[in-house]
Amino acid sequence: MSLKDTFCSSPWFHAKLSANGQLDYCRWATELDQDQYPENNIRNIDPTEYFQKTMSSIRQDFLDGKAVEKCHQCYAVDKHDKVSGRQRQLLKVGVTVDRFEKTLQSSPIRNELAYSSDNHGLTNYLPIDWQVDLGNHCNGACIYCGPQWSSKLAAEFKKIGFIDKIPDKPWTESPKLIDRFVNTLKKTKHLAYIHFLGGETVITPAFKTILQALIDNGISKTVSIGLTTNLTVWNQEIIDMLCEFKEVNLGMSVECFDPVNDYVRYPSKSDEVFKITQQWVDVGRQNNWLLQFRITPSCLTISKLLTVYDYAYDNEIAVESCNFMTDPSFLAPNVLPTELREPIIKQLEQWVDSKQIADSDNKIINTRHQAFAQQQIVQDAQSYINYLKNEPVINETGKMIDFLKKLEQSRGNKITDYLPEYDDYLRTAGY
Amino acid sequence: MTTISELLATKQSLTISVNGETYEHPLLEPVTIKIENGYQQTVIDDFEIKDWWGYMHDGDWYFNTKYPFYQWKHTITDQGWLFYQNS
Repeated sequence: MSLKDTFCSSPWFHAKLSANGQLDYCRWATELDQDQYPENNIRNIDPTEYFQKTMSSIRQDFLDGKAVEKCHQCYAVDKHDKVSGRQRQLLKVGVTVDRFEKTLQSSPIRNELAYSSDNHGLTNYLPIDWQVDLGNHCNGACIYCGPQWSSKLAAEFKKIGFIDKIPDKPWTESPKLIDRFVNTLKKTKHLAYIHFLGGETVITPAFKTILQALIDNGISKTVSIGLTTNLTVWNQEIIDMLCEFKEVNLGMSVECFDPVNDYVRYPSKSDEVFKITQQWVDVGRQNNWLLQFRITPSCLTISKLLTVYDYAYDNEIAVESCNFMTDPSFLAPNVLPTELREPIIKQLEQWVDSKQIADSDNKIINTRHQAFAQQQIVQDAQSYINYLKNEPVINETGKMIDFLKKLEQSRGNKITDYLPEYDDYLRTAGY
Repeated sequence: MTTISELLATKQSLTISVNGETYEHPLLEPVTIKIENGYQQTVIDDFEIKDWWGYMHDGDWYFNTKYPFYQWKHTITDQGWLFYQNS
């Protein structure tokens, strides 16, 4: 792989704080085995030291042109012409893959790249772009989610026997650690963006605590924040606090506007989700927030993807999925056999053709700009066409069925009630 | 070119074309163009410069990026954040 295909600028301005307190270099990177690196936990290291010193080795790898193992998801996404996290992070410092050499030389971080090159990957910068995972406090139990992201799912998994113990308490339950993090933010010049994830952010007590701290310290006036919500709750007090911020990037998680969303994003109810979606869209429009749908297409929802694309296209709201699903692998869209993929590909191709958006060489990387939303949605649809056509079928239907049957015993539902068109496929495989 | 330090050490330039006449310009120096008697087609590294991105004065068309061209292009094409750091 060449430099333009491996390099990422993210470790010069971004860091991630996971629910268990683990610091990491990227929100898109594959997560480390957390227990293996306790020294990188906010309980044990100041975020400044972690960023400037500990992350030197990853910066050095990028400077040396190495393909970094933990970045394989971004490299896979690039392969299917979908917009990867790597490309988004490059763009934030003015670098594009199509003009890589010239845009990198012209980047505002050019001098700092040279400094790091001369100093074994060290930097004097601080992160100005954070992803902060608040914990697993959640009212939802999406089937592809995990106990570390959902307290409801954690309880259910323990009851079924999928896990032995529920996850440890998140870092956000310690007022001392919240202070440590907010103090890092306070001393960061040019702090630009903090993206919060839950659990469900809107009902997580620490979300309110941190928002209030950012407002009290005057940080809210100069910083953009992002959050992702599951469209099942409405909290006016939080919305009033969000209005205090310079800019809000609102990610609205949904898989489709079809009853199968209720099965996958259990126990949501699609009518209610649609109503709350409209409320968020309205408040977002009133406050000039950047709105996005955050989708996680799986083998159970990819055939209904157009319901989101249609709504988003008509309302000029971008649609973003971080990576192609790989975990759990048995729910990934590439589980689907060719005969089930074909009608989905055809449906997506017809939809793309109907939009008559000129095929442009200029890929939309800044997917959050409303003016580009429609073109971006078509681009996203095309990436799923490419994926379904080219990604080999993986033989994990049996695993999926074992998993679904155990969950269904707990929940009293049946996938074939939501996807009758999968009936033969699932039964042949042992459903 | 296999490392970023090699890339940064490589001398690069912009290719500027005004009404078909082409010349090179240092990559990191802001681009300044004056066209007498009004706008004519201007292209920088295959990117067409619209006449309204410059201004007219006494019948001549002026264009100035003020920043390195690719930083200017990032802004004019609405590419979102352009992070400047605090080293």
